[in-house]
Amino acid sequence: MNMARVDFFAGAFLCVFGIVIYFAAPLTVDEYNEMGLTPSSFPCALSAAIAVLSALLCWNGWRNRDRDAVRQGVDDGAEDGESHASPTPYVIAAIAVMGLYIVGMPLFGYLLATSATLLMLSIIYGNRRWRGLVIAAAVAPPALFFFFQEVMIILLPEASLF
Amino acid sequence: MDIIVTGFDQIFHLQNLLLMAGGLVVGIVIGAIPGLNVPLAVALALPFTYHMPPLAGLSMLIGIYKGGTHGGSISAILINVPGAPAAAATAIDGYALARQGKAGKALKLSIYASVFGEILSDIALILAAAQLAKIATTFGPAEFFALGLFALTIIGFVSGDNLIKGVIAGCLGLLMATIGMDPLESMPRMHFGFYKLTGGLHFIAMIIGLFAISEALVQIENSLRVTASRTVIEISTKGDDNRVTWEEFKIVFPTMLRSAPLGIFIGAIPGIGSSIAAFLAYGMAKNMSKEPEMFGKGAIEGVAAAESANNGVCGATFIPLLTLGIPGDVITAIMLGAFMVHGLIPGPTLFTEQGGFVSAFMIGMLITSCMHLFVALIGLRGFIQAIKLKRSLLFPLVIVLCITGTFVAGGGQFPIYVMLGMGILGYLMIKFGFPIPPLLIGFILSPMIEDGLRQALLISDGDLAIFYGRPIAMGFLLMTVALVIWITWKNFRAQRRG
Repeated sequence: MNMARVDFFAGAFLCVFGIVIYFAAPLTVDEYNEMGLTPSSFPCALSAAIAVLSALLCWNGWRNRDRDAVRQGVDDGAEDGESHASPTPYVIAAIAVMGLYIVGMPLFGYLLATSATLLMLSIIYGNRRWRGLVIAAAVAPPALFFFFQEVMIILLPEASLF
Repeated sequence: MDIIVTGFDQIFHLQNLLLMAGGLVVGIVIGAIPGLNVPLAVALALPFTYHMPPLAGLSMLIGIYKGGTHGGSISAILINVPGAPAAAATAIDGYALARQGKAGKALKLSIYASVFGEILSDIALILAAAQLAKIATTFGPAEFFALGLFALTIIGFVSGDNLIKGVIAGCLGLLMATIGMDPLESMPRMHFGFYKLTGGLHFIAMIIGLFAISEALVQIENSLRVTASRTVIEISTKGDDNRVTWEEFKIVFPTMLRSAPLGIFIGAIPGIGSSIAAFLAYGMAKNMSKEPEMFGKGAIEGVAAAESANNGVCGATFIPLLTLGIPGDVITAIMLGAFMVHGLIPGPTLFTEQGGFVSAFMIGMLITSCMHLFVALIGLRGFIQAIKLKRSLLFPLVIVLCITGTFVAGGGQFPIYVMLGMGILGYLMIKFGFPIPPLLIGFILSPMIEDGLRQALLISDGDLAIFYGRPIAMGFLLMTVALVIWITWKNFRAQRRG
């Protein structure tokens, strides 16, 4: 997607976000002294500013759509030499692994969850040297566990499932 | 005098000295690895300081900051890939020297120049900070509001190519800071029914998410990209190619003496940063050199100028931070977070209420700079090996450390979710061309601006004259208006040209 189109969609999204927050912010404050500036005045002013600036960004994106499309074509041509896969599935996979790690840490304990996470993330980052990968997944978690639990005296989650 | 003695007494503990050295080692290693940067390193180390005494934790972070700023020059010299943006100027002549078999000379010169710049910068901090803080003690809410607005103009400098996106990011940061308790009326706001948000967004979680997790996600893209592997140039075994001779030192010393103050001056002005300092110093050294044609072909003055200026920034960036509570760049913004985590609020009151601590902190900075020389020289061969570390092993470890660190600092699951959310937000911002630093700067300055404005209006009974009737507040407001006009005009002109 070229940058003008990105600006257009990001601007439109943020403009709607700003408008929603502008009307929602006062609803989040229970009751307050009506004198002077209220707790919702500052958030309202900021969301209004975001809405206005985003509308401007959106308009700029619309205005530059043709120019950036041409530029994108030139850039695409220049990058032909670099072969690389789309990163989006890998990024989503990494976020999913992080989510699983956060949820899994209290269930499976720090050591097991960290080992599994390191293994999966290393694969996502393109590491295919299995020996090194397994060694890292086996050595790093106990080292971190020892550092936090024994050196810094901070309790890390223990497995609640077993 | 008593405060200085107290400062020495507080800082000279084995734990503090070891943490400074450890911070330097970590900083140099991370700085040397392309793809890892100083903000990421400081953000990653921040939760580890949570359970340390304030001075010990901050000493470690200072070590990382200084080591990381210099560490970028190692990869710049050996593989022509600057580990940090500020080392790009070092790469021009450093890599040329390395290709001539003088990698050892360039690396050692970069150490000497960096340490020289740091020491001068720390001395400038010690001399200037207390004087500036004295003036700042007269500030009231109106002055703090005006100062906060003035500090927000930093966004104009750190926004990159698109000013609108930078300002939107800044407004988002200001808005995020309003989540939690209202500072004046102590009532929850902006929680949208999630009562865990009434405590506000966890600052460490936010920093780690925005600067470390987002960078780790971006690096997935880089790890998929097929690029030619770069060969690390080995250090020569020949004596003269491996050291800086006395004759060479006499040539570069005047350059260092000119470049370090330039770095200090730029560092003291919020928003400009070490990259610009390095390039300006490099340009100045070239203009004043007897052999300007040698620049780009391996001029030792080029390396000395760039390094002494970019590390000259380090101490000076703490002048606006410690005296006025405004961060000069991303790293000092994170450092401000570190101060706040330990219950210390940078600004004029820090000098009056915690004089001993401030004194110990500044002496600690000076000690770290001296220690930097020995740590960098002794560990040089080891730091070179850091360049060869595999990203595919490094970044998974960074992610695990981020999550563990947030768990340790946040004390529960919720801050980790905040961190992950911020990481995704940071990644999307990078992908869509929104700069992250304005968001953090807005988040930090939000309480100063909102509290200042509301308190000033309460005092004056809603009369706006409180802002233009007080000379310091008026001065800041005028400077803000002038800077906004200048930044907008500059941006408008750049857009019309480009």
